[in-house]
Amino acid sequence: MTARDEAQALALFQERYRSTPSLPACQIEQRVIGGDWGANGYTTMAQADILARGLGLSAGDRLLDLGTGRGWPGLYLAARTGCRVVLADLPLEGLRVAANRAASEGLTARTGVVASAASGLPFRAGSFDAVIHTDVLC
Amino acid sequence: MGFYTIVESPGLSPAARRRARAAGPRAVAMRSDHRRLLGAAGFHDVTELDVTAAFAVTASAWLAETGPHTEELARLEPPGAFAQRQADRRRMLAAIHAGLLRRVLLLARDRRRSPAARDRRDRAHA
Repeated sequence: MTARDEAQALALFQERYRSTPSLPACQIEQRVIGGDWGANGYTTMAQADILARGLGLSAGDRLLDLGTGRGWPGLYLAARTGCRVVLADLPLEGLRVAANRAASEGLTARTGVVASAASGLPFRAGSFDAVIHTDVLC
Repeated sequence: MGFYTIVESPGLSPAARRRARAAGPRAVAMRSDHRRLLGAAGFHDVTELDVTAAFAVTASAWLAETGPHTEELARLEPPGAFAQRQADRRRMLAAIHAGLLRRVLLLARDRRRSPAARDRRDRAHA
């Protein structure tokens, strides 16, 4: 992906995350992927559960969710498994929504948000027990 | 490490590969396969789970569910963005049905994380 592609994608997602999903959009998402995260990708709730099982996520694990958007599925997995999660993405608009959602679900103490591209993460090697991304390379 | 991604189906002819790359997301056109990249990054025990059937169902559901709300949903996005995504989804769905695209879950372990480190972590969590 070129720098120009990245800039275009960032602008698109900033614009998207700036607006709150409408009620029909939330209802559609619920019917299609089973969640209400403002997501429009292909990872269903059932597939997020498969991911958690495949990684053996459990309470206390440190999970990094790259390209998290509004927090899907990292926040869901934190709620579901008890793990700690760092949500990373570039659009601040999505990270704000994710942080608010973490607060409303009582997950703030186990959630961090970082505005960063996957290519320049501010973490040392071995900082996480598991790293995920869903529909990011899509 | 675990991630869902869309890839071109194996064994495609050059023409079919071009169609797959045109119909799929940008990452479909990457030259290196994920297993090789994961290995180069220090991951091993790579497991691949094919979720293409669910991908087709989900892609189809997005189109079917959003279609009746096109005007309203398009107003909430930058001009042309919604229409572009719908067109992308239609093209991708056709490519899935044609056997050109797959969606997979890839799981891999970091070989630098020793079993002992995992045990220590597990004990700390107990």
